[in-house]
Amino acid sequence: MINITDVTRIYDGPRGQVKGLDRISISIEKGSFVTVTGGSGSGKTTLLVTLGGLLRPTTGSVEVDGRQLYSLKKNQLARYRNRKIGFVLQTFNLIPYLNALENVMIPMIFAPENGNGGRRPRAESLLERMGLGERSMHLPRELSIGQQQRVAIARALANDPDMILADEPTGNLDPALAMEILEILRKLNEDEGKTIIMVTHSPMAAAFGTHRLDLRNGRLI
Amino acid sequence: MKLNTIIWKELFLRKSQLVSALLAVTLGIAVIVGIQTVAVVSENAVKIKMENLGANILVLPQAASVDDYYAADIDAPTFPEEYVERILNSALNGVDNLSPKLTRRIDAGSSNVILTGILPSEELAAKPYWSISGLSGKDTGHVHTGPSGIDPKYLDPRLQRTAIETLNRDDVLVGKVAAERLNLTKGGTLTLRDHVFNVSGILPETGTVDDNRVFAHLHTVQGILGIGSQISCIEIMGCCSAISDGLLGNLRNILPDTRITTIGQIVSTQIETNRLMEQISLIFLVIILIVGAISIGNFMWANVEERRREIGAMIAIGATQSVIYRLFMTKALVLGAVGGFLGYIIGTAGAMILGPRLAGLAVEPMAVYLFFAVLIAVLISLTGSFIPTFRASRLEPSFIMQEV
Ligand SMILES: Nc1ncnc2c1ncn2[C@@H]1O[C@H](COP(=O)(O)OP(=O)(O)O)[C@@H](O)[C@H]1O
Ligand SMILES: [Mg+2]
Repeated sequence: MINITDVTRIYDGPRGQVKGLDRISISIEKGSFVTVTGGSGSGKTTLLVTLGGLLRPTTGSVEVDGRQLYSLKKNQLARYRNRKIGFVLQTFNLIPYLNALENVMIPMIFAPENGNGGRRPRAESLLERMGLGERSMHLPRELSIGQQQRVAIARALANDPDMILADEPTGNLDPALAMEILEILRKLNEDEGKTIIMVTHSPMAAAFGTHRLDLRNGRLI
Repeated sequence: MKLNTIIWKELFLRKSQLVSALLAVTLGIAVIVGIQTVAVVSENAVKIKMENLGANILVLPQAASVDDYYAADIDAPTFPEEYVERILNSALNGVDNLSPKLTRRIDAGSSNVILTGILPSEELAAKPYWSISGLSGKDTGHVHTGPSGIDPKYLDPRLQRTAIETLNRDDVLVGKVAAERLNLTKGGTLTLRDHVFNVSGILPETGTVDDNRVFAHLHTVQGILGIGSQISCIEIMGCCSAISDGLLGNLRNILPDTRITTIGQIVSTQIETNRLMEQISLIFLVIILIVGAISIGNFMWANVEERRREIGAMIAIGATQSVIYRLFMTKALVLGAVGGFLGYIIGTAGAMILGPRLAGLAVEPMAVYLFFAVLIAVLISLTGSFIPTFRASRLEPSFIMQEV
């Protein structure tokens, strides 16, 4: 359960202050599939990184499972992102000199209590699930963008997080590939009960959500 | 997979950048290791010479350079051989033995040799006015072990200047190194300037420039070089106390237009050279500390800049600050260690190659310097990398969400 109360985020831009988010309050139930829509610059990404423990709001509170997220120390926040959240970004952000398997293992390295031994089989099975069993030794540039996005999803699932935060995960994909990714996300939500918050431009993608948020100028409408 | 896998794979991505980042540190360390390695050997050599050869006197032409006792006669200007007789005639006290020499570097087919003309001691001794002291040394075939047998003063046998009792006009004695280089064995022949010599013996290794010399009869050498009755130096074994009793002054009176030095005087210039080398390497150390750190820091800064997205992604995924520090500082550590190691290898190799040529010293690798080279290079690298790493650890990860 996530409660955002009266969150405002102000950026100090080159042309003065910009309100990325403007007094927003939302509650997100565990297991819901939330889609966030809105025009460019409406604050979608700002909302997502605020939820993900990457950006401290200027004012307001972000409460996760009853705890104030931003009262955590830097290392605890890193831990929260590592164990509880999987990020899927429009630009994948795979590490170019590591192969698919290694990319999937990165979040596991940051969770040393799980041990080194299980990393590889777990990463292999995640890639298998994404239909990339054959491609595990390929570098990102040797993969199509649809495959790269699936590697990114496998990486997001590495530490079995409660929540997946996806920022326009289908933005760079053609409709057929987009459909594939959306189906994967839906299955993760329906079969495994993962909370999914997905920013999107496309009405088709937005239709996958169980809840919809629409932003304009940093405000909910 | 571990964090080190990431560091390792990234390290080999841009090899040429890596090499240029290491260049300053590696070369700097190489110079210091080289200088220090030579300096240590040179210091030891000085010490041994001081202890053992304090009583040796060298008579050289006024214009000769005396940087190195062992090589002072090579290609030096000349003076008349008649000076030998002046010394002998004067019947100075304390002259144990003397040996005139003429030395030139000459072409021997494929390479150069240092040809030294000497008068075998029996010919000197045959001169009526020569009061022989200690020329009846133990016979070891061709080579005599010093003017008075094995002198107990010589702690290091390599430093004994051997006197040669007999040498025919067409014979040569060849130093160990020269023999190997020219592929000579005892009983073979060596042709120098159309003169065919018999190799009558190979001299045992001394570790000095003598190993590179070919000894022939003085008068034959004068003949083939076309240098009348001239010589380039007279080496005198004087008795220890005689030097302080005015032997040097007396010699200067007899031979006014020569330069008369003792090994002690030469050694003191060598000590000064060593001191200078030490100062140079200290200055160098400071320079490479600064230049090396800046150069590696610069490289790391660029590395952090071009990896901003990657670092941001890692922080988003859950990398803590300490992970980012480990990522870059381990890289810096590896770079420093490699730079120091390569610097040690290059510096040591340089010293071993140049040492014998420039200083006439056989240089041995100094293993302890490997430790210091790596330690210093690692410290330089870590220092230079600290600011870029600090910057990387402070990256705001949210920027990676923004579209490119
Ligand atoms: N780092 C930043 N510095 C300054 N302004 C920013 C920054 N990030 C976002 N903004 C501004 O905040 C507003 C919301 O941005 P964003 O959340 O990225 O919107 P969206 O993802 O919906 O396109 C925009 O006006 C944007 O220009
Ligand atoms: Mg956005």
